[in-house]
Amino acid sequence: MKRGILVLLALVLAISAFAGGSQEKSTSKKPVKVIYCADTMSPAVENLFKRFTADTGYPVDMEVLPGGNDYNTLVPARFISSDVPDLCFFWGSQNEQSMLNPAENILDLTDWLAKNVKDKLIPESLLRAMAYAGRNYHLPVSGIVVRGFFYNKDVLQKAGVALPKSWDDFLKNVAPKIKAAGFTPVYGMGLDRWGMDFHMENYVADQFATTDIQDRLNKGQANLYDTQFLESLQMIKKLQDAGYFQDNVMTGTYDGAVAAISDGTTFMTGLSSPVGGRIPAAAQDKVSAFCLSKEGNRAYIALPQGMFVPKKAKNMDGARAYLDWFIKPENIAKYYGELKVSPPYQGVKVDMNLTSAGFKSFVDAEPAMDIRLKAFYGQAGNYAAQVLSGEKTPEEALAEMNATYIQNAKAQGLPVKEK
Amino acid sequence: MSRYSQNPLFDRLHPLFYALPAIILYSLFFLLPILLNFGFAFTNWTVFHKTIQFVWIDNFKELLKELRLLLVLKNTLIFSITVSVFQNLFGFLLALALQERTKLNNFFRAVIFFPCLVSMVAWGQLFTSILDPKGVLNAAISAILSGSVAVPWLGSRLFTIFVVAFVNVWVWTGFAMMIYITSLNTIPTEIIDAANIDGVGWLGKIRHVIIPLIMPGITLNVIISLVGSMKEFDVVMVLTKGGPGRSTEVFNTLIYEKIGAGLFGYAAALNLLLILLIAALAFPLYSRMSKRVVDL
Repeated sequence: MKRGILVLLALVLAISAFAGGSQEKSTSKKPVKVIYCADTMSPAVENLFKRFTADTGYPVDMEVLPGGNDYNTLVPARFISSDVPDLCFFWGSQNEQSMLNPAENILDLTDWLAKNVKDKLIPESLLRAMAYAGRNYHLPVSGIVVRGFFYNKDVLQKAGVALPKSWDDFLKNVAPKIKAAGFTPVYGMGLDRWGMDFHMENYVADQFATTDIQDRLNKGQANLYDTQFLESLQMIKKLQDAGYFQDNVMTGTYDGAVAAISDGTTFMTGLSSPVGGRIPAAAQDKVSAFCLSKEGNRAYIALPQGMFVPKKAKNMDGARAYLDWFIKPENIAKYYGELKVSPPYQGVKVDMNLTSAGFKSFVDAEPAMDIRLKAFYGQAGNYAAQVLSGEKTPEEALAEMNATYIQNAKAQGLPVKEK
Repeated sequence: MSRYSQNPLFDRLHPLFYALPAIILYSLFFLLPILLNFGFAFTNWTVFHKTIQFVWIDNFKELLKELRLLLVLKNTLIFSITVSVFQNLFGFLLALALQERTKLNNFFRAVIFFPCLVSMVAWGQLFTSILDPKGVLNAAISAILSGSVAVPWLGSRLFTIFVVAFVNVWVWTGFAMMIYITSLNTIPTEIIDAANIDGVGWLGKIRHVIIPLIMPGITLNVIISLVGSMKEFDVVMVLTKGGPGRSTEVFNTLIYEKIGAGLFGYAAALNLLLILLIAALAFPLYSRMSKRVVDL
């Protein structure tokens, strides 16, 4: 009996030793630490990283940070701490990239991209547009981001109106009919505020796309008083005074916006293309998207959001493994197939959701605007919210916006036009 | 001959050795960051510069031009005064009611103290839901008044600052209550008995006997609530992010925004200004309140 127990024990120990050894082998790769934004997290992103782990053996330690303005604050702050991720999702426009100080903090991917993706997967022109100070620092992981307005097709039909052709057309013709039909013309994100960005930045799309205002701003030959931002704030006030926002607009949130546009009570709300995947399945065929600039329907696009690799990444091998893995055509196709947005990669056919398809029609119709300012004026929606709440007049809000822009430009050593 | 050794210097210094680990930790995690903040406030440290240079008072000159400085100062003062007054008032009244050690009182003390133990972020998320126009609070008021009520608790530039302050009061009143209970328990019962014999009423007892005798506890609670609320950040961020408009923006949310813009030296200057403001309020208040302490 005793001998039998001893033999059994020896067998168990032997099996454990082998099992332990094989476990050691499978978990020998260090986890890759990833930071992502809550607003852009989706099942497609989660599945992407699961496939990465399954194919490469690199476990992923995902940290999802709050979205909106918080994300823009938290990520740069992490870069000056020792808790730096291996991969960081961030926005792709010039002034947004400037917040990361790429030359100091981010791995330069220019040569890697030139060798692995240029012309094969990403057009040269897009890579040039994505560059910051002539160098490329991120790999696109979103679609071409269009920032505009989601709208409910049923509301449009029941109110018997067509999509507005300009902001004046919306104010004078479209909104009154929508309101008369018993619907809310606009859902404003008075509390979350970032959705109000699009009201302002879409408004100035014509000026920013067709004049040299952005170059003049970057050279210090103009300031925000020379832009149409003041008119955009005045338009918001006109909409508010006419009662075209929802009741309690100052409690408006991102979740509220998605719900309002999906449940058929509201005509439109400011959102961007990545949010298309967050529209509930039941409303996917009812919610489309359009663009609305001062004098037309010019699209406002932001360069693709992407993955940046911090220079101080502790698991550089894992980060590089992700980049190499992601650009395989089968992985890009699978990912964008789930994301259902217009991909920045060539040769990838995607069955887009209605909002992405809606935006694409406007992007294709005429040259879109993208913001190429080197300095940041803060979250435009903050100023819009101050006008919405009655705290500031449009003129006072613009004064603050301009002061923030000048402060940021001076901090970067850029020339400014003070008055 | 010394009790511990033949070295008088060792005798004098050896109590310090026991406190040394705490002193080291306090210095590393509190004093050092404050001193560094003092230093960085006079530099041009931003995310855009490779090197950090002294710019002396340039950040403070810039600060004086900050369009939102007076607004955040006003909001911070409104918030902290509201919190200090009501946290202490409710804490004191609850302490009076629950001072006696009974099973029921012990239960209520625990229930009232419980919110302090939970993260403010968690309470903020809960209150965001409760205070929504379609939330539980409006539903309850609608039921009581038999009509539809949709008060924008978090959407008014006139009163949302007070709503946010009251959420803070709700969380921390239990802490104030416990300090007041401890203070009340230090009052000798003979003094209360003497006051009863002299026919002093309830209000008179509180005003002329209890409050003077628990002044150290009141001073402690008032200073803690004032200093803590002037540094408030999490309840504002979770509930309103400084909105609606900027009507609930406080000092620390402005500092947070400047950090996010990469202006670290400027944010340090704002932080230094906040420290000086707190000191300017707290020290005179402490000095004045300390003079009212009654020794038996």
